[in-house]
Amino acid sequence: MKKYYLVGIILACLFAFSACSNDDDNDEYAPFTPSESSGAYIMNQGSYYSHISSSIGYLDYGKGTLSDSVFVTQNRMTPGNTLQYGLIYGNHLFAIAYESNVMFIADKNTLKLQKTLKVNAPRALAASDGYIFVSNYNGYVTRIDGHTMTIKDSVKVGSNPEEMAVANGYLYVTNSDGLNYAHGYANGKSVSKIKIATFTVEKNIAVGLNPIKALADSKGNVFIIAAGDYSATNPSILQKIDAKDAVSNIANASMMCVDGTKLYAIYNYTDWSTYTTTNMYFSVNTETGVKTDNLITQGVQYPLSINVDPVTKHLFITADNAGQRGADYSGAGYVNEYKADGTFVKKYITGVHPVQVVFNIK
Amino acid sequence: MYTLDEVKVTTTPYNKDIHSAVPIQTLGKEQMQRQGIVDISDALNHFSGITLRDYGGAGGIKTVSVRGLGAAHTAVSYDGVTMSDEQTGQIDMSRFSLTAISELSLVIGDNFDLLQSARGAAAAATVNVNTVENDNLFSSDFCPHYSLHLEQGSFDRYNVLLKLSQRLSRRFAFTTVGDYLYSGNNYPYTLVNGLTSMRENRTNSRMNKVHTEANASWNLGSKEFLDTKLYYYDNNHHLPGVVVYYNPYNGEKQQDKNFLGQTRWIKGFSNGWTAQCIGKFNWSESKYMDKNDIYSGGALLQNYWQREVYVSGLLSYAPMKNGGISYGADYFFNNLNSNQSSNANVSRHSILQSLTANYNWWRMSLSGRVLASTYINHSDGVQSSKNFVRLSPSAAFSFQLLPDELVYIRVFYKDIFRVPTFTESYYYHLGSADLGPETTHQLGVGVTLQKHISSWWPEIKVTADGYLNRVRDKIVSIPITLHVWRTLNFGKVDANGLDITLMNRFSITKGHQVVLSGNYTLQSVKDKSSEGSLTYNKQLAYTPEYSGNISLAYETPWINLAFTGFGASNRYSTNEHSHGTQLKSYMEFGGSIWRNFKFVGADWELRGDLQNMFDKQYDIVSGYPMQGRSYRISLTIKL
Repeated sequence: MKKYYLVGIILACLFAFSACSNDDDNDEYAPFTPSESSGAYIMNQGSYYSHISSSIGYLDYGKGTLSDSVFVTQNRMTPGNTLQYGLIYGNHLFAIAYESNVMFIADKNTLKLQKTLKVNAPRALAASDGYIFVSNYNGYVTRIDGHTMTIKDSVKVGSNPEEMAVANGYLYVTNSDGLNYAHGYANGKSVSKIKIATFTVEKNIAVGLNPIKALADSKGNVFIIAAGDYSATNPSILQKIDAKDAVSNIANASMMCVDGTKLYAIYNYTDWSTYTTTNMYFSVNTETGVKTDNLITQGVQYPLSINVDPVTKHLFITADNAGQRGADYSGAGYVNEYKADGTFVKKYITGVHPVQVVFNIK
Repeated sequence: MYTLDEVKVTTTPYNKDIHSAVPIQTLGKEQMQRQGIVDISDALNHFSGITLRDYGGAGGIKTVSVRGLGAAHTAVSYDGVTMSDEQTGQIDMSRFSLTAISELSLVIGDNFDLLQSARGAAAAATVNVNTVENDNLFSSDFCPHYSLHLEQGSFDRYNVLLKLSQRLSRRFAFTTVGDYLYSGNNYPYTLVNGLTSMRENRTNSRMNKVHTEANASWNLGSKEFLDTKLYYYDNNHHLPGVVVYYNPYNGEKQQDKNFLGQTRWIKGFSNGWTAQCIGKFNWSESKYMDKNDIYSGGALLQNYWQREVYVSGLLSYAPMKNGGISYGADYFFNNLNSNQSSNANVSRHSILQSLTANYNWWRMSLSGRVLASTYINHSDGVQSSKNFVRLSPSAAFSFQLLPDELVYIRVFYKDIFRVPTFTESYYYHLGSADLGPETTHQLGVGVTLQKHISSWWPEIKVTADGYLNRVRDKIVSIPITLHVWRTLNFGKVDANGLDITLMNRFSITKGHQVVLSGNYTLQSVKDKSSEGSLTYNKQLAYTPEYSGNISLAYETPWINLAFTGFGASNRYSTNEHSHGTQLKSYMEFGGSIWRNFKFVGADWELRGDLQNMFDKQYDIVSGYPMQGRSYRISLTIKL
């Protein structure tokens, strides 16, 4: 028996060394333009109230099928509770689970877990310059070294930060103050601008009420969604922060994604007199501001996210199924695939409450 | 001088379980001890027709749903007066310590007692918790009587109860109780994460509970009594929270305080009239804290205060032995305020009137009640919840099949509703002031039997009751968007089922007795809200299709033994029966051994209990593991 262990250890060492030498040859985190995408990971949040743990589904483009058991099969453990966000950077998939206070670092092709890091109340991820940034709901952004996979340091931002975007050497962090809804999100309404080189907050940019989403286009413009207070008077709004940090309103929107200079969005509009909700799908040219409505005709009822594959340009909308009335938060969700022009391609069933799609790009 | 022929008297004590036209199940203190019942959840599990929702451990919330109607339709009465929590609409049964309880009973429907206050008839089912043994109070001597109960159990559990009762004069007697419980509740459980199992411990779950009360009883002469109670309860506990993978930390704490004073005056007049008055004041405070630096200030603090004033008057006229009529009128005022700027101060006036009639003729008995309810709501600043005026009828019929045998058939019908709770009406972004009442309709048919078979099998009791229950306009919260939920009168539930209870007493030789008892509950509780939805026609979450318990007690002059088991079939934690949300069936067993003896002039009881002896790992509420194997040792000294 012992012999086999020894052989195993030697093999493992060899493998480790070979992996290291690869790293030395070229930085896995060097910027690149994706030329191939082989599939998409679906971040299924699960349900806190129904005590359903999270799962990561894999939509294999080659097979045309979606399997929800990839992570569990590989690692024998679930990806925790309330999976919040995923990001592929270098050769890894980074995924955070909010309730579980962890970051999973897995091989991006096999989902084999390489490391589990304790992180405090993680909400969203961004990456740049070999670092992975985590927004912590207790008002910090934590920097993780992508080479050592260890926490380097944290910087204080506003209350209850959510999504982040990287543009022009800066990290833009939305400060939602989301837990302070009873006082009108008074300490939110801002975006912290962090200089990545020094990892310090350079300034706060005033934005709309309760900003929760952020992304950057290929021209260095940042877009955020200020979700408002979920009432008729303060609807969710898409705002643009340009390179000079000037903020302008674009349109009402609830969720978005971007490919180059084309921003796709869904506005989940609620008529508060009848309590009915309709979805509007549109795209915006981030340079000209020209908005194209009615992008998708065969939409979904309860959308959770819109995502665009940077290589195939296909759109993926994740959604909850309909429950008795309203969305069903404890049953299987689904993903709809569309062509870039909005033509419906296929529907895939996935796990409970799919909140995001992460594309496996090379 | 005549010598009377020896008459063999088979004493079958009058038994509510058998004679009542509605299902009434009673557990006296002695019976609980005999059946190896150790805590309140054990006791409730001995009632047929209930579904206990238990968040595990001594500190876990325990609520009772009867016959598929939902826990908000179960009232809890403490020494004859209804307890209230208008915020949640539910009473957490874990507040009661079994050692202080003299009798626990479950009434399904309405007991049609002429002396029942209107409010006591305003729920679909009632759990009665009685602590005062009045009969004993006035039959004892004039010496002080002490009772000391000391208990130690697994997971740092310590319980001390001291009771003093004394009859001071022919007319006045009192009891005082002090009851303290500390429990660490840090029990181990098996955590299954994906394909991996590991042993973990519950953390952040210790509790400190004090309950103290004083009861005074005046016998004012010729069928006139005045009883008064002062009660204080303080439970300072940590909340372990739902099990979260990779993260055992939970910073939630709660302190519940409750003070109440209640008094009841009753006078019987010679011509069949009886008058009764009840008054009550209730104050409760609930302070919740979630210590976590995600909140500004480092913690979320939610404090709620509730008050109640209750008065009740009743007049009953029973001129003949076989019938009577009564009228009762109740008024109560409840209010709720909090430290949350998003929640308004809310209040409710309730006026209930009931007219009750009973009539027995030949081998039949017939009862009926009409309850008129008026609820008037008020809130500061925001829209008030709707006001309601309703009439609710109920009726029962029973028939003794054979003149000389205790075999009855019984039928009852009850139509009752509950008003929306303050949370359902007003909670920030969730509550709706437009809500109507949630209604229930109960129809029950049953057979009961009690028989003396032979000298070695002196007693068998069987009850079998079927029912067809309907819940309409069920109050449910529905997501409008991800962040906005609305509460609507939307749900419909059809609950049909069968409840069976069985009790056998065997007398082996003098002083040796075996009691075998059990119950079985079969229930189909289906969502009928909207055809074609994912939940339609599926068994409601956390509702087993069948459940039951069995207990075997063996009593000897030297030592007593009890063996008990209870279990339930598979359940789902979601109404849609989502993949991976099935909770496996379970069966838990326990055993008790105890001995009573006299020593230095006192009565002693030494007792050991083993709960969940096979260390069955299961959840009743998903993510809240139940306690595995545990023991308790107790000593009770009565002087």
